[in-house]
Amino acid sequence: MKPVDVFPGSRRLVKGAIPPSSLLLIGPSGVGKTIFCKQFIYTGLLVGEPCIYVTTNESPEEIEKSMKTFGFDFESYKDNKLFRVVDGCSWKLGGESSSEYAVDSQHDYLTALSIEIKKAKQDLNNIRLVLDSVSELTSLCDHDAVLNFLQILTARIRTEGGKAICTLAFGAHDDHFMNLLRLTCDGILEMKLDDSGEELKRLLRIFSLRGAKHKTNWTPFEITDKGIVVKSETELRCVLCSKLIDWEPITKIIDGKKYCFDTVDCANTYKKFKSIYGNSFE
Amino acid sequence: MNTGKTLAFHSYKGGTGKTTLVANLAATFAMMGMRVCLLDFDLYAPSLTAYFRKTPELFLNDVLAGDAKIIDVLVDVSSELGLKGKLFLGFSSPKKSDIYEIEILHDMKWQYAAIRRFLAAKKELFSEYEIDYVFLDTSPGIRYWALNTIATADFLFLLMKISDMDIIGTKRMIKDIYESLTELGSKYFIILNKVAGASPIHEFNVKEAKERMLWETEVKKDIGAEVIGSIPCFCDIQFDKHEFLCAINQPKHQFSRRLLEIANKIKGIG
Repeated sequence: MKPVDVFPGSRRLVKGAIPPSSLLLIGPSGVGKTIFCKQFIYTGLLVGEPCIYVTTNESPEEIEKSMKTFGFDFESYKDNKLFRVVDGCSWKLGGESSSEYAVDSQHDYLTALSIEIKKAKQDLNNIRLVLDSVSELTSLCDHDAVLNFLQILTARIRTEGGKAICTLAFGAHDDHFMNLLRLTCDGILEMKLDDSGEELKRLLRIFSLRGAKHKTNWTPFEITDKGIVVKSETELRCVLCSKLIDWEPITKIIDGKKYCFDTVDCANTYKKFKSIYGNSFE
Repeated sequence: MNTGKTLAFHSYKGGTGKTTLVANLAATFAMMGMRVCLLDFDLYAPSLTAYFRKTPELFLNDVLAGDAKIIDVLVDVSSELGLKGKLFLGFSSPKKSDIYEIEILHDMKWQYAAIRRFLAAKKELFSEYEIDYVFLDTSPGIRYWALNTIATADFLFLLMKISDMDIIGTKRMIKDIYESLTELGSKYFIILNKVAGASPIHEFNVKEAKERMLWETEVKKDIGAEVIGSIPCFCDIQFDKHEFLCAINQPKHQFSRRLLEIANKIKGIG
């Protein structure tokens, strides 16, 4: 099966497989956290993993409409019950939820949300879950209760072999709460906006990820009509096959010139072509 | 990470039975459960479309031109052949205009870009489609795309008949090209095909085995390269109007058995 990103840019930013984990995605409003989460869900569906989207900010209809905008065709997965929305938002809008997993009031909100999540995932294994957003939960419930809720949720996801992403608005919480949240999750993804140049830039980095080797530098990304595309900060390509080199290049000095290759095999093949065609092969 | 291997099948002259052998050998590997991709890189005289009786919409020529992805070109024949593993085929275009383009029309800049596209596609086969072996059927002789394909291979198999013309030409080719590639990591082997003097159609006979061994020893001594196998000349294969994958259709045929021996030796070397 063709390998795909676990989350946008993961194959470029993480070396090897990503262990079962809960990730906290921190970033300012408008940076692209929600799209990131929807893409995480959609790529999960594509590889046959059941997905649950826990929403506190958008109704199920808004989520579906937005996913369609990016070409994330989830309908068949929804029909097969592989894609489920736990609706923690519609009650605020005063309407009926279209989801069979819905919280209907603010009363004992976290308990109700836990029950609905449990119902949604009871017949599923190895799930992907998104919780968008933790910040909204803190506006409805006290911080300790939210922390407790997240600790239980992330621990269950991890032990069940799943993956989760929880979003958090940057700058909306005090340091104490942020530090406790960071400890709760297995990894921290950070997003930021950079408006120092002529164009607004979006950047992503993996601050930490337990059990995996990863890059830690800020990497630019764009929101395209097909979702988030993570770019390379250097765009270093193999001299032979032109493949983008994500990790350390293989460097060789050939006829006094330094060349970068994707693999040792590419370096040797390049030398073979040089031996056949001489310096005309560049 | 997938550590698939590239095997190129080459010869000094045409008529060595290269395409029949490589198609059957690739099928033998797939019968053994491997994930195999056979690419027709005899771009100047394509024959796999005729051998497999396929009329694909896209060709390897489109990959070289940057107009198609390798996965869109491949034809999966595993189910129709009832294989345990997988056999994907990549055809080159038999159209006169396409052969003319590759042979004459394009300049070196285009050709080098095409080499890079080919290498990227081959890498994709290993990394994204978990292919164990890529088989390259090359053009005979010292021609541009024959050299390109052998330069990208881990293992090179030189097919030859027992004739002075083949022996002298093969020796020259080894000296001029193969030895420099060997210094850079390639390994090459001889396969003797259409060995005359014994055609054991009905049963294995001792005389034929002795003959083959003698030839293998003599060629090894003369050319200085390891002979990985030899296959007698089988009239029923050579003169069949449409010989088709004897290795699958007649697994007990001596030809199929020899190929199985060669396949096991190749697996042993990498």
